[in-house]
Amino acid sequence: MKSTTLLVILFTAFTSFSQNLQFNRETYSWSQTPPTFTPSESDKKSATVYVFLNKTVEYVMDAKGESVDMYYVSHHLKFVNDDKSVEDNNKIYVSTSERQNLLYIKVRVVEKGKVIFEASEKDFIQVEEDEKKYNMIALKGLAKGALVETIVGYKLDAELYGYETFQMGYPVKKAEYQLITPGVLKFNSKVYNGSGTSIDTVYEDRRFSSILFKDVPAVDDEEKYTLTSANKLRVEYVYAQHMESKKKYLKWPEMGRIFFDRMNKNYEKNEKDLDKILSKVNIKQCKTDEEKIFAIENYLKNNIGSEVNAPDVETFAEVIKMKYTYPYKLNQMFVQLYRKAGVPCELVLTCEKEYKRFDPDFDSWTYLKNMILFFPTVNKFVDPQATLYRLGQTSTDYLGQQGLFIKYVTIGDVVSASASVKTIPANQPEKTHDVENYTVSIAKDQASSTVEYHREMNGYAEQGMRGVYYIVDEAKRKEIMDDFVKGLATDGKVSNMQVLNYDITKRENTNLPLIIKANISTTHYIESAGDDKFLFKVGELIGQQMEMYQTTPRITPVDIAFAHNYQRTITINIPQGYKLKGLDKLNISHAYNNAQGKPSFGFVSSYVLTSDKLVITCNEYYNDLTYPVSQFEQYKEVINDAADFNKISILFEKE
Amino acid sequence: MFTEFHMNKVLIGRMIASAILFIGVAKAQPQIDLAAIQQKYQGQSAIFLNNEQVYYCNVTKDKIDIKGDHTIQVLYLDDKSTSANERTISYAPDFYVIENLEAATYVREGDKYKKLKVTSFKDQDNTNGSSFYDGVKCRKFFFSGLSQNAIAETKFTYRYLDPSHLGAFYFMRGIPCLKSSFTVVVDKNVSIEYRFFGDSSKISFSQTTKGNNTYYKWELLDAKELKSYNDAVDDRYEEPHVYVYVKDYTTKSKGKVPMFGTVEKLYKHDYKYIASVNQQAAEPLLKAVVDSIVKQSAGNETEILRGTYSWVQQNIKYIAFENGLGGQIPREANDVFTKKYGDCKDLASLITFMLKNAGIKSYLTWVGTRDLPYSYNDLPLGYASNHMIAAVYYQGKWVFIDGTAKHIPFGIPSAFTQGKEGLIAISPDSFVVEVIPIMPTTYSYSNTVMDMKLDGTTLKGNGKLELAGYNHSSWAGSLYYVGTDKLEKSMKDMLSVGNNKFEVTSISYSNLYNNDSSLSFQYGFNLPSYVKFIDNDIYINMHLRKTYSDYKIDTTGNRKIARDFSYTWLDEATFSIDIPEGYKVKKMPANTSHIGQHLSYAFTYTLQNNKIIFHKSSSYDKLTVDAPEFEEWNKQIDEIIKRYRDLIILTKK
Repeated sequence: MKSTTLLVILFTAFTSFSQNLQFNRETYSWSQTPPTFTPSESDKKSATVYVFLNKTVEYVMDAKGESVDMYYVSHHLKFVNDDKSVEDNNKIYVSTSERQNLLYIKVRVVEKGKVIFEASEKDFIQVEEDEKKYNMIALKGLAKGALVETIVGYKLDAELYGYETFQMGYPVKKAEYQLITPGVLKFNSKVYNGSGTSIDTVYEDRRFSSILFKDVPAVDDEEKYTLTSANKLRVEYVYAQHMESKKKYLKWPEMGRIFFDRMNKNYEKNEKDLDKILSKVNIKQCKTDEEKIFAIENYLKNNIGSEVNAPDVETFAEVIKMKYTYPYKLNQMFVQLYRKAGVPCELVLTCEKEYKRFDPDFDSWTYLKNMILFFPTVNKFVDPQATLYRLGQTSTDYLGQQGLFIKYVTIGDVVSASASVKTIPANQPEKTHDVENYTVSIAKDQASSTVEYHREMNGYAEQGMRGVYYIVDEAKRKEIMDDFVKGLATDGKVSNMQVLNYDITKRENTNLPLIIKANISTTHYIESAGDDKFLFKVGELIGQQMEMYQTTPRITPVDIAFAHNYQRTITINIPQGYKLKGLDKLNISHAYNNAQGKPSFGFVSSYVLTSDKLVITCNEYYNDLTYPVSQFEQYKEVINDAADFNKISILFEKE
Repeated sequence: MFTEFHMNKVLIGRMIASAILFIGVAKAQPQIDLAAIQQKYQGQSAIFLNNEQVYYCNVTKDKIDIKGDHTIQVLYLDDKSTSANERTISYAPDFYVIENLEAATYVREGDKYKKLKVTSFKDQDNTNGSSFYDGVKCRKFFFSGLSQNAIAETKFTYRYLDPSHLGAFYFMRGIPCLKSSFTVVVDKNVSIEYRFFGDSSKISFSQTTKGNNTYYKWELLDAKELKSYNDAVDDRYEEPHVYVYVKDYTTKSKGKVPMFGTVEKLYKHDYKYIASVNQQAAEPLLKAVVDSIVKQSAGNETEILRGTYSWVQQNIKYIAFENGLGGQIPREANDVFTKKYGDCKDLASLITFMLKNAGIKSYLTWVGTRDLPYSYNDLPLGYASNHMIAAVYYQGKWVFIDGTAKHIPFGIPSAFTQGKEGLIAISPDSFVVEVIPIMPTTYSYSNTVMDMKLDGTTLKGNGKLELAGYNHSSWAGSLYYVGTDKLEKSMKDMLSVGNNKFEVTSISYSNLYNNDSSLSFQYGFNLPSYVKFIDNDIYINMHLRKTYSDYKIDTTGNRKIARDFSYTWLDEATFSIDIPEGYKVKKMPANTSHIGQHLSYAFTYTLQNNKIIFHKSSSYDKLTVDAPEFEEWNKQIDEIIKRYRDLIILTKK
């Protein structure tokens, strides 16, 4: 390698910080002079303040220029403002995974410019649990008004990509990201959810990329309908190019091929085992692709537990005998079984949308965290790790997220893969109904009512309830469902409970709604207004509804887990001789379209009154996964319509 | 919030019986009547076939030698067991260790069982305890081949390095258990005693002597699952369990060595943990703090006690290191002072030491908190204690000072020690067992006053809330942990009544962390959509807070275990509303009052100067509702809930 002299690649005019070009991963430390910090008025309103936060990643090439080592140094200084902050900060846990080799932890407590505690090796307790090691320390003498400074250095098994988050639960006054690489290796960095000041420098054969962020606000964890983590300020980095060989780093298609190979590891060797499993699955009895897909999925999910810390074994036959394995191996079994069964299947790599929004323009393994499977012939997905879901339902974390779709390509005898980024479709609102029917009869003494409860939830509307109901024992089933159907009527007595289509191991149920029927007898809904009249809290039938407040201006769009709607029908049998009043409030109508002009979200309720019945229909729908900030007020209005409806009472009066 | 002093001991006891699934089949083929079991336990995912422990107490090589063989067998009755395959067996290297751990699955194939041995075990730390660090470890493994009708069997031996840590045997589990048995085999050089707790009516006991050995055996067949209720006192108040301990043993060299059996012996045993604590002089900074408290108090004893307690509450945080003897021996006060943290016994150490330096005698005191159902006489073992506080003889009576309770004043015991005994360490040979008082209803008083009027359809007004005693402590306790940035928001949430549109428009408060005065809030509020306007009438439910609506006791499953409350209370509230112009009262609900044996309440409506004033009060003077009282309690709650449905009607003039 040539040694390069100082070369400024980019120096933005307005930068006000200098890079630490002397950065030494082995000896990195804090300044000799203990830091001081004077909190501003706004700082005093926070339990903790990050005075600064520095995260440095360094790649170091070996002498031959063949491999790199990776180092990571995290340095932060926190101001401890109140008792909660003392309680939060007087215990520090530093965890190290198998990939990480801890080099040093430095911790000190500074009070009024004086170091009152500096941790030495004997102060740390080492604990090991589930393949993770922890170094724990309780900080001596920490009190309100002090500063806690921490430096942690690791050597890691190198990965040529990664990310660092710079937005925390508390405000950060100054945050610095630094990526140091050998001069010959070029990396790309990209900032998400914010902007900073960048400087890139090459100095003594090291390439320094730095980004400085100032006054990063605290994450607003009160904000509703949002992807909190995905919206945090972060920097992604990925290896881009070798400056001499001009060799570029992996792009999506190559990553797809690599992953395809990993999933198909030892396929030929496994074929015997795969055949045995397929015969257990009775694959020959399956007529359609859908039947085959379900049969394989159902077999693996019913019989093989997924355990992160499961030991490795050589063959699939051993896994079948043990009945559990680690998630990666389970994924391989899924992929290879579908291949062996001849079912066309695409592997889809993505990540949870709460974790990060997939960026198709930043080719990095960081987004390829989890695998789901797409079956083009039936146009449905399978989520191998979601034990309680079956064909057609994945974790809602992936809905609307983009992913790397990896297709099989067969040329002659060679099976390979082609991959491209596509969107995992949002769930179809018309297949995600939550139909709620309540038929109410008032008891003769006007003190209690009986509610005939009939609910049908299809698609994502059941929110995992089907699987949970299936897996637990009878006593627990009763407990869960009783609470569910009672809703706000906690005094309710439940009878004639029927739960249908809950058996997740039956394929026909994947296309049927989960049905729950019950009778609930309760005093809850009635308020007495004398001998000749009473109020019926009809709105409370639909359960507690969130009242949405947003006192600060909304900056992030509204994101929801899945498109959904509630189709509610409330039928009230009017006792003879009574008339109803106060029905006008039942008429609510707010409906909004999206940018494409299609119905997007709304709350619409109305009623029909006949001589002996009041029938209220109340539809609430959210057809899109994301709503722009410009529609936020409307969205809030619709959410609060439900909260308003929930507070409606109607008057029953003797004629 | 507080971690228990003798957590190690308690954990051991619990682990022996309930934290783990223990096992034992001797024969290669488990002998069970599968069809009968399937029939009987339909709808049940798994049952214990066997939960067995055999202890051996011997004198070997001139030393007391105790080990316990554990056998646990779980039968899986449905095909959903694949995810139930992880097990951990805990141990505490200083007190008891695992020997000979074996585990296997018996997989059902036809009418035969095929054995799959577990071959891989991993030792690691067990961080599930509530301490920051307690040194407890565990051996972890996975069962292979779990499937319908499979049996998972675990067999292991605990070697007890310290005979004071033998734990208890618990007969029941969260799932049914066909056979629970506990046998203690004692050789002639050892004499043991036992203490049984809970319902023993279904448990058989035998004591036989064969040769040199005496066999004590308890057995419970066909045990139902132990049903848990989340509003109940600790399970140990009801579930059968037995503690066995060594009364004495005889060795050639030492002769007869007395161990446990009386409170005196327990005290002698435990005193050694505290005997040598705080022999040094106070370090200068600590001395300076004490001196300044004494000076500020002008030598007044009450003020010194108050000042010292409050200094510790404000300056020392709770962090528990309970590994090995660290779980027993209080740390030096000088160190606790410098570190600014400690566990309960460290805080007690600091308090007693500070008081000593201020010229006031106070004493380290062991306590079993309300989680433990034992008195020291019932159970004269370390297992009767899980906490340490300080005690001072003040104005003719014992006063208890709990360093872990941040939000109570001097003179008041921590809520979770009420009614329990303090074992007060006076000197190497003398102690006092004193019952910690239960605070009366008037101590935890609350008073809500809300003056309201209608502005359009929204209720608007000003509120005042005064919280005293443990009400104050519990609010201060939760607000202490929310942080400056979320404090006001949390207060507003906590003040919310009526419905979820309740909005606090302004707020001020006083004495949040001043333990000597009651906490009070003043606030302005808006409450839309609460009052119903229909035709010419206005309907108002004056029960803006329905505290008792969730207080009914779930008595299903032949519940015997008491409903638990943290403290007794007296709540008062006055809600007044101006009658809007042009309206008059059409109907007012009837007044109600009830004076029960323990629960009393009164709801009164009065009309005064164009205002409706609703006053309610309620009190409960016990810490539990016991099984014989369930029916009466639920009746009373039903009555209250019924009154919650009463409406005021105003109508246009």
